[in-house]
Amino acid sequence: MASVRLRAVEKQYPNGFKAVHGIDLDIKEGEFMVLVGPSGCAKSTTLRMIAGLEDATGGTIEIGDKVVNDMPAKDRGIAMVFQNYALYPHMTVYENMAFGLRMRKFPKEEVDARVRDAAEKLEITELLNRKPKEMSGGQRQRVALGRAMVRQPEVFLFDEPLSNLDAKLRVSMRVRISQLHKQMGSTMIYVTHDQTEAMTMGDRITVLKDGEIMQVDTPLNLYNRPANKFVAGFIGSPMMNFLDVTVDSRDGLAILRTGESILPVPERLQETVKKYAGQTLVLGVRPEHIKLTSGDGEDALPGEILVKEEMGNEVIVYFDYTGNRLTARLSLDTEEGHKLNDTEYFTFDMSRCHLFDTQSEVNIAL
Amino acid sequence: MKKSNLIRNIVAVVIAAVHFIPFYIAITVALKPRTDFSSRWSLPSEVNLENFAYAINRAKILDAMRDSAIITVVSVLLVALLGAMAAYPLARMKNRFNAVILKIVLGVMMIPPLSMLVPLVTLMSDINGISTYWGIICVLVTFQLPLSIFMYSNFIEAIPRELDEAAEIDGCSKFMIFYRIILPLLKPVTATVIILTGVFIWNDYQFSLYILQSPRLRVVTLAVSSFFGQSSSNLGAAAACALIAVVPVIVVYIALQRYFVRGMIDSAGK
Amino acid sequence: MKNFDKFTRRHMVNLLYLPALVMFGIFVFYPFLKGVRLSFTDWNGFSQNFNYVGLRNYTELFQDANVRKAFLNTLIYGFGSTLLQQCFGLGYAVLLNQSFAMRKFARTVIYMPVMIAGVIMGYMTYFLLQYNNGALNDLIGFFGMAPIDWLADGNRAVLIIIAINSLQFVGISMVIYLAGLQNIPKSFYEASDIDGAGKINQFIHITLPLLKPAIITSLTINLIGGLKLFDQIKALTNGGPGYESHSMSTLIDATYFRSQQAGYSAAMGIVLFLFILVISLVMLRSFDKRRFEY
Repeated sequence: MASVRLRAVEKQYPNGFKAVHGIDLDIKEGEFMVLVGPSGCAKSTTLRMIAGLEDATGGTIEIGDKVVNDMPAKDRGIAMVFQNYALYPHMTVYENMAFGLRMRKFPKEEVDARVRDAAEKLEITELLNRKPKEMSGGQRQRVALGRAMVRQPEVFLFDEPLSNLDAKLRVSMRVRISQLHKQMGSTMIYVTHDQTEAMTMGDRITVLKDGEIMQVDTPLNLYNRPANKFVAGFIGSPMMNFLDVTVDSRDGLAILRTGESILPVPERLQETVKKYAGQTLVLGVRPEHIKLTSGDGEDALPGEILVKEEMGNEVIVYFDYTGNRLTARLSLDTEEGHKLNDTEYFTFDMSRCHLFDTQSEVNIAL
Repeated sequence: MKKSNLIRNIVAVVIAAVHFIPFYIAITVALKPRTDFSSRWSLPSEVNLENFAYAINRAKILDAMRDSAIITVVSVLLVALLGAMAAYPLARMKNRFNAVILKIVLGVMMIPPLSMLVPLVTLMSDINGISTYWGIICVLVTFQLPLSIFMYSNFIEAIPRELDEAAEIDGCSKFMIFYRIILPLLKPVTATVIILTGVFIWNDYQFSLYILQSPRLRVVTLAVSSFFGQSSSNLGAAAACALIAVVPVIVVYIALQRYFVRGMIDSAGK
Repeated sequence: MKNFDKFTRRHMVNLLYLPALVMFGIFVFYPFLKGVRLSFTDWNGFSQNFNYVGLRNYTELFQDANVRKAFLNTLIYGFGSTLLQQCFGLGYAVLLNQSFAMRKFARTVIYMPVMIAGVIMGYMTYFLLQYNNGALNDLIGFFGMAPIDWLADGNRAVLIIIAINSLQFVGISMVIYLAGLQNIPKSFYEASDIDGAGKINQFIHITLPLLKPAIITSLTINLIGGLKLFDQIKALTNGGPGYESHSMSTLIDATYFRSQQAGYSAAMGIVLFLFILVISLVMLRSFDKRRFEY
């Protein structure tokens, strides 16, 4: 077990392209940290720099209080699980798992004990004599996991390990990796582009975009208290709705105008929003915080229903509001019999909404 | 439907027959005694092997085959080994310097052997490489290496880089990665390299003609050509000689046809 | 020191190509430079002394009728056999890409000569081309024609050598085109069937454009092979009659060994090398462009 600490870590490629712009990140001992972001956000590059597969061109990387920038990958006390498994095709499962220990000249009995122990935990004992190409994707990924486990590394690194698996296997492997983390208590750093994986597995999540950290927090905080518009939009499915609103005041209270409608500003945000009088803000509302309303009060927005997705337990309704496409997640009992192209009235739960500065995109509603 | 297949079959057989004519004529010539002046198209009335005996005894074609075999086997092993070694860093360590090296390797592949004739022969005689096994082997290996490097590096590029990285984390140096991980994976392409360069080396004439000047060391192409040069009066034996020289390659080709064709296509470029 | 460790850890592995580079250095680059040097001399190939003659070999070379003839022949060998092999190779491939009983047999036989040495192929066809009792003269005699001394005429000899070279190596084009045809997704043909295109239209508008990579590959291989042609000429005419069927390769050989003009021969070698280099570069250019997605 070891902590991992990144300080002003940069990565610039020889062609001048800067992939990582000075990242600071502290990962605690035994923590399960997920790095998540859209493709090209440098999450894999960051992981590979921690692994020692790529050089950081600036800053320092520490694993367990040791600066490892100049240390070869094999001495960093890490093990890595790759997206394409990267099992050695010419070796059996046993040899694959034993390879790292043999290279480190572990005694035979020790190698055997560790391999068998890991195989048992992963339920792959009966596969030990198979070659990788004789196994399914899920089995291969378990072997890849086993190969990392036997090394008993200080830090586990995962690079999109579940992306090549089908949806069902992905769920069960997700559970398996989480259990493994609890059993072994090792530090784990897990890269994924899939926010469901990030939300369900991480103790904390680092959201990256274009080589910069957008926010580091627990899954629930990311969801409920996104620091900026990017995180708000990236976390949560269906995605958060964004709507441009104008700040105005009425009877000494700040209000938000959109089209004909007037949206109230919650008490706790009055002071903050007043500073933006006359300006435009971006309102963020999660789909589950939109409701149908029968009346047409001043806070009701008329929307033309474009698409309805009946999920069984809920209905996702996509509707058009003055050219903005909004998404509402409605429970079955509130939504009944509305037809496509009907115009209905929707209201926002303003106490749960977020407001973002149009320039900096920072969430001012926190 | 049936009828068009019949036509196709006939056309295909006729084309194949036309391509087989040189072999067929060589066979009839080789099987007829010297005194038989019947048309070359007609089959001999009886199988007559005296021409083959003559080719073996006088042209020493079997000795030449042994020499060819020794040269081919040693050269091919070196071509495969040196090619695989060179290809690994060239395929994996992409940088400007290695890109230049790879271009040079491809450039060597284009060189017409005869354009190097004078200086190469001079060099070989300066270093006493004329008419030696090592002399001809060095030259043949050098000129087959580019193809080998090219095929190996294409193959290695298709091996996921993550294997190298996993091995690196598992504690391998770059050399160990090559030896323990990459090398064992090269078996299929090695088969291709061996049979392809093997045929080129077995068939070499342009280099052997100049570097093997002494009759003590002669490869099959030289044995056949010198026999044809001397024995215009004994064409039956010359034909027998050519056939003996050709048979091993044909046998190997028919046995491993798929690899030859696959290899030809792979070597033609990605 | 740390940086040095890292550098060696990373770049030591380049040592693996050192043996190959050493081989190239000794047996390609060094002799090449030596060849450049010799091309400026009047060396005869065996004596200890020679004189530097500046560019004389090169100026002479451009005025030498034999060189001009050989150069022209080289182009004819190269482009002539390339043309023949494309036509027949593509035709064979289209025929043998269909499924019928004899197709594997035909492929095997057509590709077989690719396996044997060009020089042996040349000698074997000698039995066809001989004046007395040659198989070809037998054949035309059967139709009542007088026998022909096939290789006695220079121009005819060049054409015959092209034909034999093509007969031997058309298998290469055939397999490249076969592979190319098999790479064309069936859905293209199905789609055009639905659009109502006929077989000939399909060939022109689907097969040929999608075969472009194969065509360029095959062209390159045949052209470079044809321009280097040596074995068959050496076996059949050795450049004769006179100098009329020489390629650059066989002329270099004859100039060195028969005329003992090593310096002159070396100069021809350099010219041939530069010529092939230019052709290769042009072909490589089109190689880069030929990748296109289905």
